[in-house]
Amino acid sequence: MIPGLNTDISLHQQIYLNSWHFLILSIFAVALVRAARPGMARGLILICCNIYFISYFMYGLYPVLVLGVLILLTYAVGHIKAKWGESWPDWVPVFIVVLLWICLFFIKDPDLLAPVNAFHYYPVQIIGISYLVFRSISYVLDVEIFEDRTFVGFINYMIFFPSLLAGPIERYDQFEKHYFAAELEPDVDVLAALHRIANGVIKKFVLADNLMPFGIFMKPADGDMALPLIWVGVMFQLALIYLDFSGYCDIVLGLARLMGIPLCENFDKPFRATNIQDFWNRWHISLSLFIRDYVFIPLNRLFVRHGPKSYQFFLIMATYLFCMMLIALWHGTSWGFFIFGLLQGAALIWLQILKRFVNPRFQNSSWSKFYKESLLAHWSARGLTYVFFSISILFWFFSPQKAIQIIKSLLGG
Amino acid sequence: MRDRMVARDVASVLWLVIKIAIVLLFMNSTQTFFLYQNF
Repeated sequence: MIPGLNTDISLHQQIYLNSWHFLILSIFAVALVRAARPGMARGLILICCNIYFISYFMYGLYPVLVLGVLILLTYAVGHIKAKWGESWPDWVPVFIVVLLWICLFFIKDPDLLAPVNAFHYYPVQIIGISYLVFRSISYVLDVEIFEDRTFVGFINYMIFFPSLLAGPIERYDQFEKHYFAAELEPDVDVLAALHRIANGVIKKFVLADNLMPFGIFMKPADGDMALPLIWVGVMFQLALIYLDFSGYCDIVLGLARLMGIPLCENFDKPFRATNIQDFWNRWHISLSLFIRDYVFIPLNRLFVRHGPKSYQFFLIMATYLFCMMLIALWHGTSWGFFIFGLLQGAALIWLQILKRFVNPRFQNSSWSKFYKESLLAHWSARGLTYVFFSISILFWFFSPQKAIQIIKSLLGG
Repeated sequence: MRDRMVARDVASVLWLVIKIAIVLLFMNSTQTFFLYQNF
């Protein structure tokens, strides 16, 4: 760390989503962006709002420089790819994407591979850096399909303030569809959008924040707790994270809808999931779809085209595991997240094995009929999925040893 | 039909006001955490 270079975001004043500051900025943004003419005027007004918001999370010149380089390079690479991309070898976009992933991991964890990590010596904190890098990757890979590309539009896409802090990870083609439209979503249901924001504020700032002490992650790691309290703490944590994150998403999606640039949904009743694959299709959807579209499908396509036929199932299973590891290590590069990724990957692989080898054998059995039609089986599957995910996220908050100790305590050990 | 739509909108506004009151009454302004901001 360089003396005097303190870019720690938490030390500085921010704009909280439940502040008057954010409310006034939002009202201004909605009114001005909607009133502006399409094109440069709308772009410049939106860019002012975005820069104003992001300025509360960036301290010093260094983070601005890193963000500026990311935006400029992404736009330049996208521009070159759109023009000459067809003559590029296949490995060039892959190389760029891998480079961006490595940069992301290095920025997020300055101690990762410290000797070769430049951010170990020049650490930088940029709010929502993961989401910025994901947008960069998405833009570079899909640039050929975009119809309207302007530099101002691209900056607005990258730092669109409602989704700056934690997504959702919007795709450029969805953003441009509304951003460049002659009229910003004219038939928006204002009352529905306001209800969505109010629901989000209640979920995030009334429920999640007030119920936070019930989550096991708030308990001291070395404290002893009674068994019922451990169960309550472990089972509560997933609900709290859901209220926290989906509440934030409701606020952001409602605001973006009022502005006339709607964003993609991030949750679809995740606690109705009956297995872990179903859960990931309903939880943090924009991340799951991002990994599916830019990692899982390209890798599987590669294996199907070039991999040996007899190993294809094994390779596809390895891809499931790799994707889950990527999602887990994106959350944090610690052993806890590594184990979380392994658990999620193993659960997905187990599900695929059941689908491929076990289910066909019992397709017409009474057990299969019971599983498909019985309400008890359905609710049990929901409950098991919830419990499995709740237990696996213990590894987010505690060291592996402590998490295993909590799991043992849950079982009465 | 029109009266029914107006009544529905009025009810919706009232429900929104109640939600805002809940927020103002019960919002925890002393502590806030946002896990995903750190990711």
